[in-house]
Amino acid sequence: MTMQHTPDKEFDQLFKDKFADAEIEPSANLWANIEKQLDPKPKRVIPIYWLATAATITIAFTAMLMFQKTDKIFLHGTKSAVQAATPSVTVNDSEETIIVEQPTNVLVAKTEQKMKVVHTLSDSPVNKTEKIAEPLQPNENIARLAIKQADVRPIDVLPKELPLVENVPTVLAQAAPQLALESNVIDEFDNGNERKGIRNVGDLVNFVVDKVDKREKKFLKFNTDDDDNSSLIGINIGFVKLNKKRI
Amino acid sequence: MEGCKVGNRQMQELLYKQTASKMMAVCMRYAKDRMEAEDVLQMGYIKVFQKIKDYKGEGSFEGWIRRIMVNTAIESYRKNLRMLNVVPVEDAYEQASQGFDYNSLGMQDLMKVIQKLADGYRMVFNMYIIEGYSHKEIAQTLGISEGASKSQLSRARAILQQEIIKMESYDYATYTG
Repeated sequence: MTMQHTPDKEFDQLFKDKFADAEIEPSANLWANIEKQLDPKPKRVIPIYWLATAATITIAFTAMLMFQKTDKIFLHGTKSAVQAATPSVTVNDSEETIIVEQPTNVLVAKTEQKMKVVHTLSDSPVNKTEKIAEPLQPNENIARLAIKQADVRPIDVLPKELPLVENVPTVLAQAAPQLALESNVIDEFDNGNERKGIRNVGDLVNFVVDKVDKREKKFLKFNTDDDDNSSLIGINIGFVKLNKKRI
Repeated sequence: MEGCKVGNRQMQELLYKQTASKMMAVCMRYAKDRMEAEDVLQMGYIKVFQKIKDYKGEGSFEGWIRRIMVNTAIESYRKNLRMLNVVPVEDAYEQASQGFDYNSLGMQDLMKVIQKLADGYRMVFNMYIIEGYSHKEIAQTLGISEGASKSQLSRARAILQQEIIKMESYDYATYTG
């Protein structure tokens, strides 16, 4: 500053003076632009109402879906009963054949065959049906339906059980129809995923997981039904396991 | 002014109309062109109306608004700094500035030469000469060294003098020719 020459000072002063009271008119529309930018407050009020409306609609919609879900479960129960009923017509024939065989029960060889039947019926299917039939409304039609011969698979019989054979035939005639139908029901529900095809995301996940994960407790398992509703019922990531009991 | 504090739109418009042309002149000095100046002016007035509640009546109201405009201009320059390239090298040789009557120059002429300056030179020149900042303040605000501020000022001054001489001789040539 001390180095400044007089001409520089004059020069600086000239600029100072000239600009001290300088005025330049801005564009005419500039105030309108400023006004627009000053305005945003009232605009913000509207979205809040929109949010409230949207939230209400969402809640109402969710509630509707939830009520729908319970309704549909009833429908599903009756529907499966109808499906299960159809095989019973053909089964009746086979039932007769079994009954016909009953009197010739004397031979050991034949009793063995009966044993097979009894065994398959009274073993695993019963346990499974008890579990799986529960989500359905109790349906008396199911109980009366008979066995399909094709469903009866031969299973090795333990020699220990042979003495019981004598009593079996009478039991067989009554027990077979009940259990047989219920084993049909098992097919509908337990192995049903692949047969029913993939109808929703839950099915898709189950399908993929089934292909990838061969463990009994899958990495992910969804409970699915015909109404595109699916819920997570099983997780198995080694250290994290969730396994809701199938209702 | 009280109306502006409450947010009265008519009062705000009145304040704008009373001060806008002066503030536009301030913004013009810091800008390359009218458009840039109006952008700064608009941002500046938004700030004025937002901050007017905090104005305590110290110093002149116009001076307060002017300070906001200058700060807005500096802020805008610093934001744009990243996008700008290196300052173009202008060959400005020191030249004796005698023999010219600077007072014959109009404000518009001076504005033109200031706007032609490279951005950095223009900032330092405005802040130091017109607004009266110290080199230290300029260095802090613009993020440069004090030495750079000083050298840019003398360079800006040299370029301006040169440009003015060019302009004068041109005017003289067209006038006589």
